[in-house]
Amino acid sequence: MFNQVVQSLLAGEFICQVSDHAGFSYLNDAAHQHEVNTYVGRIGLQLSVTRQGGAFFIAHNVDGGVDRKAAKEVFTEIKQSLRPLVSFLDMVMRVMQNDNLLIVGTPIEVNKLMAAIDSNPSFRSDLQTLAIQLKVSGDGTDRNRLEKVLRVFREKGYLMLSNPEREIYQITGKIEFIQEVIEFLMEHDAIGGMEDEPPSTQGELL
Amino acid sequence: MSQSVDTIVAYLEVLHANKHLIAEAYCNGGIALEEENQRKIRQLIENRVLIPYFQQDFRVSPTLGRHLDEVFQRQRSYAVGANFVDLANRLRQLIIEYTTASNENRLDDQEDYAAEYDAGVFELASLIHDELLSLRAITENQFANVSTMAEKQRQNEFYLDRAEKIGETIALLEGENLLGTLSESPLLKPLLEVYQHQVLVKLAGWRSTHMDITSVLKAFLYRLRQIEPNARRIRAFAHFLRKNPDYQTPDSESIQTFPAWSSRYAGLRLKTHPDLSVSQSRDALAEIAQSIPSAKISIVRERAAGSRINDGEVNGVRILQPKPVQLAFRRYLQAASDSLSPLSAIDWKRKQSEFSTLGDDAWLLYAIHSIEMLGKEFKSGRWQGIQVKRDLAPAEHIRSGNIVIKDVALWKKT
Repeated sequence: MFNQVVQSLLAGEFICQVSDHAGFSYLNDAAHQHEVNTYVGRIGLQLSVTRQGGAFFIAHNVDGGVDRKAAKEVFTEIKQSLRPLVSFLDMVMRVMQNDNLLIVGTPIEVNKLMAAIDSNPSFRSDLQTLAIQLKVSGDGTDRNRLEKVLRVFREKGYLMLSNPEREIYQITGKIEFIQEVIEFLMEHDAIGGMEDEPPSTQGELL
Repeated sequence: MSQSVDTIVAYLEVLHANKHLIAEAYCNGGIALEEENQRKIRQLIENRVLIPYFQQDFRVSPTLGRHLDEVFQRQRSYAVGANFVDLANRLRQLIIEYTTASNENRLDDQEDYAAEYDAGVFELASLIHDELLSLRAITENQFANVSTMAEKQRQNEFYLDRAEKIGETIALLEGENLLGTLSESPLLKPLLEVYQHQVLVKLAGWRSTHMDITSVLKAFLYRLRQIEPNARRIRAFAHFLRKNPDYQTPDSESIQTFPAWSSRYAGLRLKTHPDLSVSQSRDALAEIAQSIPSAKISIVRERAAGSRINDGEVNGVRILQPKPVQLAFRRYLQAASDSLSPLSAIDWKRKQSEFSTLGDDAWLLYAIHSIEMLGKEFKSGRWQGIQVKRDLAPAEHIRSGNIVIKDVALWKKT
């Protein structure tokens, strides 16, 4: 398991209970975390976990200061992918009329999503805009457009096709990473809309 | 065999004899009284296996149902476990009765209390173990038996409370209250040994499992409580992006304090190569190599300036071989140019054994086509003077427009 987990982590993948259930259980053991940390620590990296604990990933060791070059790469990637991703998450929540979707493991059924999009011209327009943002082209049908959009987010690691026959996707732990990014950007750029929400920390709850 | 053992065996035989009926009642949540099963149902009611529910419907008794739930790990929402504090208090009461019986020299009573105490400690230990197992299963599947987040949150809070009660019991069991009483008198040494064997040796494991479960439940509760603010944040951000289509995320240069997530390692695709010098892997590599289909080789030769492709090579010139039908027509034409009377194409071909594989229809079609192509040659060219005659079959209908050619003949006009 060590081999498999370390290779996935070094490839830049997020390990969560959806993407790799066995690997995630393995990394939840403190002894195994130490083992992985010791290994990757020798090349200036460290094992990190999202604040909500839903996904493990590898980060640069920042003990000696932040690696600005690496941080620049992350910011550049965020800059390129954030807008369509936020549009997608917002659209899925509105289409499914459910704000509780954004948690690791939540299933997204393509058929249900498509039926809801079909029934509302505004959602169809959102889907078309999203397809343009992602530069996906298809046969012109909304179904094809949606499938391609989902495929893009699957390739980016935010979704996993857990049941190909019934076309059911699941949200992966990477969602927690992007939630942290959004929280930071909203704070940094003083973007409003959350004024009524007091900042909460894990320490307070526990 | 004692009387009580016989009774229990008889009871178990009743269960065995009605196993299908009991299983059906357990799985379907009850069973209806019918003509064919009424005798069996009556027997099960007498043995307290089935309990009347509504008119002609019967259900498995809750105690047996709980036992089956436990055996088959069937989860019940908000399942209420044992009252551990009451069970622990019962043990203390049994210790007092044991001491009193011992002081009053009532040896039979003392023995009975010791047996009751032994069974009580065993029951308590077993219930704690089962409850921890059940809680672990619930936490690991993250309340998969319910679908909405609100339900999950309510269940999470309920089971956190259950976990807290187990924690209190564990603290009670290792505390001075019970353990101190058992240790203070040599009279209670047999009870202490039972306690040691059934509880004390397991306490460390229980404590560790309990801590794991509690931390997972708390972390999950924290995540559940975060969903709503996260959703609102994403909606607000999406709204902001729609209103500000020119918005760009900040450049890393403008960031004073980097967030933890910005140190994420982008990843590196690892590529490995087989070490052919390692003898242990050679057979496996050979097997893999054999399973790979051979690649198609295409060699593109570039022509050097001032030379022809394949210049100087043996296979530089390709000689085209005529097809048999082409060869046959050529010879037929030669024979016709020497003939002064009409030479039938079909008859000529049939006489040539080397062209026996050519079909008459195909040959005739090729001959007609070639004669048409050579039309000018027959008038003024190389084959000047060759005459052509078609042997036509009578038309099936005068206006059908079809011309059926049965044969064609060529000869040299003198």
